[in-house]
Amino acid sequence: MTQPLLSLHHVGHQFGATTVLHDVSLALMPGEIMGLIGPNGAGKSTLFNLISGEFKPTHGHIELRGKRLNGLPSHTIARLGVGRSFQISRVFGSLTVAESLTAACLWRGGFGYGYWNPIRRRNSLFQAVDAQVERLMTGLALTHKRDTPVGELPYADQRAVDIAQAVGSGAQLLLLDEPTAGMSQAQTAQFLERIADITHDKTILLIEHDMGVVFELAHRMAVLVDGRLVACDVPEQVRKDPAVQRAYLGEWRGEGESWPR
Amino acid sequence: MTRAQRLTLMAGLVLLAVMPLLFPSAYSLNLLTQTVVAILICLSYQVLLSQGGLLSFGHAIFTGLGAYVVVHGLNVRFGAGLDQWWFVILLPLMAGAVAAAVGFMLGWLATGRPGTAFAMITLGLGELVWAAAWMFPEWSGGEAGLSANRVVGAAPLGFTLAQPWHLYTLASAYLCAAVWLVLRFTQTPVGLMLKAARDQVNRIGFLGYDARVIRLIAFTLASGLAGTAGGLTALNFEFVSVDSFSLQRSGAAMLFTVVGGSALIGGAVVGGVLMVAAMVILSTYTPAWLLYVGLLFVWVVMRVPGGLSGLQWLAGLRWRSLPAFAGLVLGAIVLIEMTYHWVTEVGAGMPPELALLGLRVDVSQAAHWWLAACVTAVSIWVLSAQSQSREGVKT
Repeated sequence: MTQPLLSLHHVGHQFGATTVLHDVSLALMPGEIMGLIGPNGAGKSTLFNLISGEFKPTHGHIELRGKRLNGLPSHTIARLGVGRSFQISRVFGSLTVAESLTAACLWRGGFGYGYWNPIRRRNSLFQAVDAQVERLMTGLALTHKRDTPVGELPYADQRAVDIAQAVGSGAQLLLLDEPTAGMSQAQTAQFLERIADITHDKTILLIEHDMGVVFELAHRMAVLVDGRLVACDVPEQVRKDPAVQRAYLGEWRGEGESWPR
Repeated sequence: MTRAQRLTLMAGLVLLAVMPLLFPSAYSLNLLTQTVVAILICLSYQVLLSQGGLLSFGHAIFTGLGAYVVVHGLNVRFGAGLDQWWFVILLPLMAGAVAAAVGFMLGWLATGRPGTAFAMITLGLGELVWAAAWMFPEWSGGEAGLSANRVVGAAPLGFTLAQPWHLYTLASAYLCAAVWLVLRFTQTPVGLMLKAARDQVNRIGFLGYDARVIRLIAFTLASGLAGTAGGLTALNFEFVSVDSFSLQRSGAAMLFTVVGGSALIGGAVVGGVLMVAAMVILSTYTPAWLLYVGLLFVWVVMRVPGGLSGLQWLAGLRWRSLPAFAGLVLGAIVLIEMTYHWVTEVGAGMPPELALLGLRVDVSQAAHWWLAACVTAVSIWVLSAQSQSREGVKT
């Protein structure tokens, strides 16, 4: 049996007296796409923040290929191969598309902090990074906007750059926090097609509110309700799960979210 | 680098070479030297502000430190057999190295967090160093300061640093080297990540870079350049006192760099020129110079957030508004100067007349006050009426 890429062992988290996550255990196999769903405030984004090192879990531990991530700073976790996008895009507004993607690829490209590694064509290190940046831009159909500041791009393009940055940082595991938030259904389909090319060989943990998207993409689904993992299985089983249905029918219907039959 | 940037840099180099030929007097050469050094101070601040969005209130730590390194170095050389021209020329470089080393250590404290925390810690460190300098008067010379002699004996080509143009040449050479270093820095991974962190500091960690290390490297570079600038100042005046560490110096570096604007080199040049124009030239004409600087600063922050070097603000000017604007400036200046004269001079028993922009003004006559106030008020009224009519056209 192959080793899981990411495994969570009894992970819990508290903010002061408030417990936001209880005893969550999960394992992601390499190449797997796992959907993470649950009502607002269920602790999905907190889980992402724990894995990527923004917060330190108060209970349990998190392992990447068997290496413990607990307590490591986020830049170390990123170097180990965890990339993430954000619910609210955190793009570099004044940097151009090419600059943003270059910034994302630098560490994996071996640049480090060195003063003697200029970002110039003549530098052989840069040629490799530049080739990767070109690949990412081609994959996202952004080549013609390479010199446009990211802050001036349309919303969907900014989301795409955000994800491409996570890919460019060399991540094997991608944490995508509502990549299609705020998009129409047509935009969503188009967007997923765009990012499919650059993310096809990655292991993905995906937070998504559009149930159509999750049921179509995910190999397995994890359902968080009130900080507890109530189900983790293939989509067909999760759909039938009475605990999940209860959570959805009770709360989500009211918010107008669709539950596919 | 784009073609336009290259051309601008070339123009700057030519200007640097031509200015001393156009203004060869000792006084103007001294002013030019001070301007070059002021540009270098603003350039060092630009590394923090324009590239990293970091607002430091402790820049005088490093300009002051550089000045002390040079003065102590000049005084030590006689005993140490270092009475050589090359030693004096290299002193600002040593000042930069010492300031960079101290910048690295203090930066370790200051760069833990960006934003307000960074600004507050640099403010505290600046005050700390200033107070420490007062506590060791043997080293700092206290308020009376320390003096030194920069002139060496024989040197190749007669470059003894005795002539003003010698110092101008030296300062210009250091400025050119600094511009190269900073431009080069913008092309390094750290330079790019610094700009990225300015936009989204919480993103770069997830790309594998430690935001704190990025800030620390930038802070070290800025400190080193500031040290060199301070060293050149001390070499120019052959004097340094604890005043070099004062908060006012830190504030001046910040203020004029902000007024200069966000363009990396252009902002430094505009800021440096204005710094000398205000602190050296304007201050000899009026005691109210600091008030004018403050008004300029407020105007820039409110109306031209990109700074004067951005030049877009020129496009926003309306010729129609120019007379009223000139009237407002003139009226306000006359009112400010009359008030200053009334409070400081007349109060001390001096005559009530003062010469102002070719006018003879008498602060004891109510008519003069009324006239100045009316010009100001009418100008404000015309300006606001014009801006309202413009908004009316828009909607």
